[in-house]
Amino acid sequence: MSGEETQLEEAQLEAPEAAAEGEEGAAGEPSGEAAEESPEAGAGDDEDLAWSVATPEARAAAANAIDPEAAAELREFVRDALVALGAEVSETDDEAVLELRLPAEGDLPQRLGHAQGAELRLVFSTADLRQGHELVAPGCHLLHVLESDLEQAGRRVYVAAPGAERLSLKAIGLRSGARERWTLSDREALEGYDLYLVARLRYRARERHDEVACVKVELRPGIDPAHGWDAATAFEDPDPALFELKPRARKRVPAKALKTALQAGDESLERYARDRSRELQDGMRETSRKDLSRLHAYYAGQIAEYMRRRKSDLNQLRVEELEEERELRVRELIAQAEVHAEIEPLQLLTVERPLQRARLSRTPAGEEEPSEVRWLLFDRADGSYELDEEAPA
Amino acid sequence: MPTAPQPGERFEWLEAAAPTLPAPKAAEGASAEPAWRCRQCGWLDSVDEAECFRCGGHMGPESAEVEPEDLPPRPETGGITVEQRASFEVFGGGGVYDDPDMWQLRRRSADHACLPGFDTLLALGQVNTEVFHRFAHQSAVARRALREMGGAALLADETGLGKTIEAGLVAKELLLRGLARTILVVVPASLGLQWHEEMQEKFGLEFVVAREPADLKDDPPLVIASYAALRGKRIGEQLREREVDLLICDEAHHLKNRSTKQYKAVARVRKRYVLLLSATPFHNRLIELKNLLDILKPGLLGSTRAFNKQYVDEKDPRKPRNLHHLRALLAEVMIRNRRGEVAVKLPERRAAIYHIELSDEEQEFYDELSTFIAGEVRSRAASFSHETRHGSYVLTLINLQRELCSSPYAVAQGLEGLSHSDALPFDVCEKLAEFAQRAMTLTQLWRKAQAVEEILDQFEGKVVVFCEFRATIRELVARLQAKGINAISFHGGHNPAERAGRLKRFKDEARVLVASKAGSEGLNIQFCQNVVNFDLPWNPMIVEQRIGRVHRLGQTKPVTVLNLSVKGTIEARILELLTHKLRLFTAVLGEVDLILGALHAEKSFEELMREVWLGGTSAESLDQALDQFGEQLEKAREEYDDIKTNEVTLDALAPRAPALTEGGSA
Repeated sequence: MSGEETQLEEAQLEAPEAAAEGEEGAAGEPSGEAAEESPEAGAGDDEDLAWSVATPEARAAAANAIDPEAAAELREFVRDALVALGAEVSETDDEAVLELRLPAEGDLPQRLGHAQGAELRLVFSTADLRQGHELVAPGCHLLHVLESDLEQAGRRVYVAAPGAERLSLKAIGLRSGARERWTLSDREALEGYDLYLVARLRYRARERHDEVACVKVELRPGIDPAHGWDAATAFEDPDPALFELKPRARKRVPAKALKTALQAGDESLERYARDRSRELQDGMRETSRKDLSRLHAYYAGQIAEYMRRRKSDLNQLRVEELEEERELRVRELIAQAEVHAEIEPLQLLTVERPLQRARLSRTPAGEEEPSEVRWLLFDRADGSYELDEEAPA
Repeated sequence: MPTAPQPGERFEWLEAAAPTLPAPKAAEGASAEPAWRCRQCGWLDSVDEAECFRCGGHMGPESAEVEPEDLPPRPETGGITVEQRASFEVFGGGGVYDDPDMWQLRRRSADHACLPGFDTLLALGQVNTEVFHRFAHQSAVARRALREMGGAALLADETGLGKTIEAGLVAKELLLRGLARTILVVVPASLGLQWHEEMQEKFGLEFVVAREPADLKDDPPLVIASYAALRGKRIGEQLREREVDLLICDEAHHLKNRSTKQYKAVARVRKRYVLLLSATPFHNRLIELKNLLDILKPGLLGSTRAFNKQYVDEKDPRKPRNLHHLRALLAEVMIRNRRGEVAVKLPERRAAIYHIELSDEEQEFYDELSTFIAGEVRSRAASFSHETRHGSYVLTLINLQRELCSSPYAVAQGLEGLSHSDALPFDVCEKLAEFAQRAMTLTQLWRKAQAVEEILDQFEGKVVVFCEFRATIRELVARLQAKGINAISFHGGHNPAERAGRLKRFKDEARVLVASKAGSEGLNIQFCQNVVNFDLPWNPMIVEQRIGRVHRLGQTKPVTVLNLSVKGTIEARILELLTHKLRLFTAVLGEVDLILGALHAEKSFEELMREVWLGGTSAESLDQALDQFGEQLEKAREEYDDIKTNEVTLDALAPRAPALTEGGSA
């Protein structure tokens, strides 16, 4: 087609979107990109540059960027987790970037969206984002993959605390003297256990809250040999020093004792979950009450309006409809104020503690028979001990 | 031999209508005035009121403690249920022990896997970033709807800002957090498939578009249904009685009137979270906005009488009063972003119609075959119904007419197939076969293909050509390649791997991509700047989608949309309707649907168009029917323009844009 034959009415008007945009929408400028989500409005030029070179994945993760302290912790975790899964960390001068080489085999690289043996440059802050970097932030794909890979790892560990202390009168602060004589007899070596039960607690109400809780169960054989096992619980994380203890691959907690301990742990977790649920419910209660008042006031007003009108089938029908609607809305409101908690056991750390049980007797000077006899349970790991209730002489 | 261009052929550039909206005035009553709140029900009011007009309670300063009614007694469970897996089940059995270091690592992993609050949207890391460009305002809206509004919000962004995306983010977030399992999206019938595609493509959510009872047979968790289906008898009851976790109502102004069946149907749905989407939540009266909000938070704006008394101008039912208080109340449930505020920037878009004329031989063939088709159609139109054999034949003939407009190859293939039909009389089959033969003699002429070559000569850059028929795509690609132009076909017949390869070739080396509608679904080609509508679908939404493949975020250069219009064809008439009556090519993205909504028709544009075409018993009556339809479209457009003037009021009522105050940061 020649120019003469075609009438080109080049009234090149902007489409309405462009018209409202001003000069930034002009040809050749990456205006479209500039409009995309930026985590910090009004960020400086460097950040803009970083932004413009970010991959879509990086941009997707950016909205969930976190504070520096949390970012440092996250970095450490990602490094440790990837190394545990076969990646190699590379040395780099840039402290902000974590450089790793993914394993050359297995499906981890593929699930992370990379080739086997690929090099990753991970950053944990949008400010550090450059071409070829991948941003790691809460909720990102990489963390999902790590979580699913580690799900079955580190579930059960058994370590044994060494018996550093020796049961003696001195160790329990006693000494025989002129007026009385103390004796330890019927010594018996036993094992006790500290179990650290880790569970994920998930609360669903209008929002969802997750937390990980660790309950410590102290499982001890009854001080009196006639008793079974005693379990006491407290929410406490294991001391990092415990992970330095020697793992024992063949040891087991006796089944009955383990059941007692885990039941105690479960009960403790359930009580805790109920308390937390009640807290959440109470937090919502004020809002729910206001909503309920609003609903009642609204429907009462609406119904009253119809009642005031001339009596007719139509008005009566409307009143019935409104009553039904009110009931529906109140039901919705009550449902919204409910909390559903889920408890999922994740990990168990068992710390075996060497114990010694003995009979402690006090015999007054000049007497043959002891005037007081009690059972004692001595923890050889730390020297602590328990005494049973005072028994009659 | 190529046809020489006719003297009447020309490009007609289309101009966008200048915006007619008045600038928002300083809002009446917008200056901060101390507000009083009812101590009983929390109603916010002006200082003049001593008694709450809603519940009769005592009014006090806004900060005063509310003493609301107590909640009904909790159920036996105390409203708390605890589901617990016994630890002994997990750890009681045998099994090997792990390394202590792994125990610690696992523990840290569990901590990192804990869900943060809604400040951090998990959905952002889960969307398909290949086809999804997010704006700060969209995630800010999702956060605000979830965090501050408890998942009950009216999303009233201006058209084109992505209300669907915002709703998709909320839906995805609730699903990811396990807060929602079932979702019901209610839309005007014409938008069902678009929602389906968008949710699938951008969020990986597989919705079922429910039309028949069979669609709900397996109780699918994610359902899209039309307003008509929800209020209707066929599947309405099933839909209404389902308890859903999230209810989304698109184009929610369809719920402006509370006495309608669809309002009542929506109000009946039991839901935990609800999103209403509308850029124009009220059309004629402010009370319509209140009716919508009654679905979100019944009673927030009081009773109808109270609302009218308190907030509606006595003389003008569109105009609000006590703006300060009304705005404070709306801030609890409504979010509105304006294009200027959120800085959604797209490059310039211009559109033109390339008017071309057929050669004498082509014109003669077109006229004869059109007359034949019209005769056949009209003789059976009286008994037209989709279910009947006649109905299916009529639809085939309509398709034939569209193939005729597309290319000699497409129509020849269609005629050939039809001529072997056992259901048709022998003489008709013979006639069809004869037409098929004649069509193949015209392949060298094919004026539309020549027009594409001319466009390629005149316009620089990559070009995507949208066609309706595969035969046309195949032959057009072959013809362009024969001329030394690097062209690639792209249609639904290619498997995903082939499509990816073709797309890469188009990006890296080819100049032209000739694509079908099926092939273009999910297509992301913002590296291309020119769109040619070779064939015109009878559905304006598809045209809008085609343009949207190129004129979208990520596009950095001006986009040109060129429409081929062959003089004297039905397609040319439809194009005229779309261009001048609907103003399709100059409308803001998303507006077309709102204009079509103002047609108040139960049927889609395509169905209406088909009816017009079937109704024309002669060329003259067809012209008349098309003119009438054009008038209806124009009226709908005017009605929409009128509705748009309400946006000034809405802007005054809306709280400021969250994207600007929150910066989209976590």
